[in-house]
Amino acid sequence: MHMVLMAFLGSLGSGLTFNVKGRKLIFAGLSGAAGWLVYLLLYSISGSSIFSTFVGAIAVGFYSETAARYLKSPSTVFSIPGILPLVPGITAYEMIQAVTENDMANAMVKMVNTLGGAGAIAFGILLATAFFRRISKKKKTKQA
Amino acid sequence: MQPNELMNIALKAGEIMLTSGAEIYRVEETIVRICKSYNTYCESFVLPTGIFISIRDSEDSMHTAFKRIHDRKVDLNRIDRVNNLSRSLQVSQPDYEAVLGSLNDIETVRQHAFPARLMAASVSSFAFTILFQGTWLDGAAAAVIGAVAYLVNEMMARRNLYQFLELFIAGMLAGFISLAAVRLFPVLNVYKIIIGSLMIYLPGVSITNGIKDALYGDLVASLTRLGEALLLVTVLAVGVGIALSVGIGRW
Repeated sequence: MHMVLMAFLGSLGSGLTFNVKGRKLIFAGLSGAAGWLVYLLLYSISGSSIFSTFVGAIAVGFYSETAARYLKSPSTVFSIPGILPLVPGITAYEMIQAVTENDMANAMVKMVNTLGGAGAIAFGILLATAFFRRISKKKKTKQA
Repeated sequence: MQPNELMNIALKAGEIMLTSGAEIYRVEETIVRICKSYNTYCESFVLPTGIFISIRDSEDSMHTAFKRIHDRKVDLNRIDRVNNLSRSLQVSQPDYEAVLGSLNDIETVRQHAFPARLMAASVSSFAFTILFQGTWLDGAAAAVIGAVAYLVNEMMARRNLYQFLELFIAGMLAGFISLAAVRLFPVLNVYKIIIGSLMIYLPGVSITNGIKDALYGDLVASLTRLGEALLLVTVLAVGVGIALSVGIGRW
């Protein structure tokens, strides 16, 4: 459980360095916590880190788009700090380490893992945004 | 409002948003929204490095202006405020001086004070280290190293060094200090400290925006942003890599 708190703190802190202000800062922190909670749940079920990252990113995307509509802010205010805990920092580091140790085979493995994680985040956010955009378009056409 | 005044405002609003790290579609939409609020037809074309606007005046002649964008610094608060300003213009249309005044306010609004940001960088370094299953001690070390890296980064940013150089040095510095820390306290875990203290430098903004730009069809911007992200990560990685290979070789 304290891991989720840490995800909250991490996103909160990075949100502050990106100059998010006031109560939106709390919501930016919650975004990171939500993503990490989903990641942990799925990781304990599936054991696949890339898949869990993917679903975690979808969760961050959904959360950010919803929060954006309630708080009348751009969704990036919540999604940018929110995805940070999911970023595959460890595998990226292990890749660098493998390169410095001249262990190219291992470096390739880690590189694929890193790119997989980054791609999973990208595609997760993309899905959430596309979904919400579809809904708000429908609303607009109904009003018109 | 005169066409050139409107153009001035739209360009300024777009410039603030783009330099603060907004997505392309948001900048374009904001510009068009501002013009529409004043019943003027307008087209905008935005690239990560420049803004183009065309406005048609009441006599049907077109006016075009463009603005070159050089440096970018992420500031989500500014994007938020310009966004809200442009939406408020749809409801009521204040005159030129009033809008320009509010834009100037947004542009000069202060960031969080430096000590607060330093603290935040330190706290998030700590949090990310724990998140990656580091021990509390690792977290404490990362908090210190993250703060030092942020301090140096801020000093370089104030001297207007290139962003790539800043990241390179931040990565190398964090690498060297972490290695030294582990040398002094062997219970620490080098790689957890390094990752934790460098997380906030990862180009989350470029990646997120690059993807959203692709989704909205701004392909040029998307590829540019993703390329930027790749470069930034590479530079950071090379910095850390140099520290590791020199450090591990010597000790």
